[in-house]
Amino acid sequence: MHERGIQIRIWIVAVLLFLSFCGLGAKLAYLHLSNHSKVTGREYKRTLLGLRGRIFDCNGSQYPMAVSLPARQFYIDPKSVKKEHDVNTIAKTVASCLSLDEKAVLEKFTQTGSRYIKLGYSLDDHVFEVLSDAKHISGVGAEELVIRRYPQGRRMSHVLGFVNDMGVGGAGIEQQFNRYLTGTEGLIEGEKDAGRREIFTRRKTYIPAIAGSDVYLTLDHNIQYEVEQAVKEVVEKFDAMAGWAIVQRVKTGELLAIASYPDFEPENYSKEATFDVWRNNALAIVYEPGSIMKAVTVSALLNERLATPDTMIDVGEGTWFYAGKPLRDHVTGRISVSTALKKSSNIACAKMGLMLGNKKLEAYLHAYNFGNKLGIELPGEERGILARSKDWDKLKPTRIPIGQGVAVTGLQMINAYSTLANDGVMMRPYLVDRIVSSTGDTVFKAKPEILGRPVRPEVARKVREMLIGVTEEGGTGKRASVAGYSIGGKTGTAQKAVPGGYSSTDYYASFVGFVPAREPVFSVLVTVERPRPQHTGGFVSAPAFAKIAAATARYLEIPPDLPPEEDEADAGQL
Amino acid sequence: MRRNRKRQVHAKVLPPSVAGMVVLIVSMVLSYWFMDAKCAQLGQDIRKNEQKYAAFEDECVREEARWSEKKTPEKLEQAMLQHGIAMSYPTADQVVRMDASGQPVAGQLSLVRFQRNLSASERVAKTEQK
Repeated sequence: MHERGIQIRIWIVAVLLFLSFCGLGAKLAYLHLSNHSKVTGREYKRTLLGLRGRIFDCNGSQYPMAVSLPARQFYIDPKSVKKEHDVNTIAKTVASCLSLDEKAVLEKFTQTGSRYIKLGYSLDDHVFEVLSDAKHISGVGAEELVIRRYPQGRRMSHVLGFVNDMGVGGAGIEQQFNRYLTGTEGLIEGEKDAGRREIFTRRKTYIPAIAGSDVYLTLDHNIQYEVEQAVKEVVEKFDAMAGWAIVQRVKTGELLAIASYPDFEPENYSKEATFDVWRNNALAIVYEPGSIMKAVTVSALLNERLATPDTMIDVGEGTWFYAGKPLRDHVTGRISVSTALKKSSNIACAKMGLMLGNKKLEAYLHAYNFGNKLGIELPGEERGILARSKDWDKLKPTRIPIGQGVAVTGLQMINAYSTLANDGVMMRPYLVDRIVSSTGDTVFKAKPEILGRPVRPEVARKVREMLIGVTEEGGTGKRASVAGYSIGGKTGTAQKAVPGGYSSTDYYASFVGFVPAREPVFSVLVTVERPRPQHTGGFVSAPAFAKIAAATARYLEIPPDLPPEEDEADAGQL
Repeated sequence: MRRNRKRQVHAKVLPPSVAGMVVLIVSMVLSYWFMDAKCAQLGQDIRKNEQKYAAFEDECVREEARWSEKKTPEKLEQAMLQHGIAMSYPTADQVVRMDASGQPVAGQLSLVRFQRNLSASERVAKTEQK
């Protein structure tokens, strides 16, 4: 009886053990095979920030012009400050960590009406560690944030543009290539523990964030620096309203620099700038070019074989009446086409317009792409104003050849001169070289594109030779000369169009040319809006051109093409 | 009550099959617990490493940006000026242009020309000054 009792008890224990293990097994199977989130109610979900792509200059990844940085936005929740913590101490710590005024922070802690009062952001992980120390700090929260940073400050501000508070590009490359630059958010889904930390083994979904593509520009920040400096100096020196400059490689059409002043700081775009300042004047301001248009007129005339550089034109005594309106000139007598360009004769060029006739003049203007967009990869490009020849009055064909009655952008003008410098081949200007995805795949690669051939190569060469004369002794653009290099270019001074006519005080002063003139590598345009008291292109813009041209030629290691005697004369003057 | 020490009990404590089953289940449970703990630990480590990696990546991006901010043309100029270095392009008499054979390029300013212009007496004077 006793043995039997022991056996029964052993069996009971064994069965109980077996049942409890079965129960545990069943529970384990249930936990592993069923839907965890429903079982536990501890869903963990975290969105991974996809960083916006970067923007680099032509030197590659060593020189980011725009980057996205992970940061933390700190905020105050005054109601969640624990009793054991001293608000003054918290405010002091917060103020020192975020470089804020202690009193201002303390004041925010007294605002009990809101539970979310923004403080500021920090890029430093250490700040986050200090402010999230629950033992000493309470009532301060943090959330992840991506901020857009422009390491070179104002450099290329009009090209880069800015990103608005929603993370969307609002101007420039940031706007134009927003869909490439925007990153894709990632996701982690799973369960969290009692401390709200993710339980890795319960992770169900992991979708990594994808950073946006990187945009590589053709612009060079070193050349851009020189150009921006030169434009700023000339605008400030002549108390001008604005100024802009472009440097373009003539063989390919790629832009090396494009600057506009006043500029702005992309990071604080809304605080210090207005729409007028955000506008990229080099391609968005439409203005009458003045005498820089004369080279286009001369090239058309030569291309039509209506004249040669030596053909003589009578400009009379300095005043010419046509269609009842006088046209004045500082040149008198009979001059050659070449001299007309060198001395910038209005009457001679107006007569060239008549020699061409309306149809041909209009055709050449269209061939040089005036009145049409060039298709640069920036928002806000204007097409200029060029009326149809059938709508022209009798005066128009005498005014358009001297750059009046037609409105252009700086980009159109430099592209026309680059065409002359490139043996008559017009290239499309571009400033995005390639776009590379975060995985390293090239999603876009720019190629030089020919837009047309408005004039024959020999005509372009002849005009180039004539334009060298402009920067030589007796020419209007002598101040554009650069030691060691032959310069071909043209000055332009145009009255600013105002309602009802032209301003007698406000002008656009321009100089556009190419370097070296005999084997051009790059072209430069400088335009200054409303300079004072001097207002001529030769006085205002030509020296800025010379500064930019000298720096760019040296930077691009272009060997000087002038003999040493000339070289020595201005040695060291940059 | 006295105990009969000679008496031997030959009771079957647990059938071998049941005992084996119990041992098997217990060992399975123990191994499961062990593996689960190990996996949890590994998961924890992975999570921490993931966070570390992300933090390092973020820090790397920030450092790159800081470095870029330091090497802008104006910052470099400022830094050089602080050390009394003012850089400019070389003047014409400081440039030597040579062709592939190593000879000064004809028609270009060269070291030969520079040396020719700098008379021997001037050189002596400069040496004495030093």
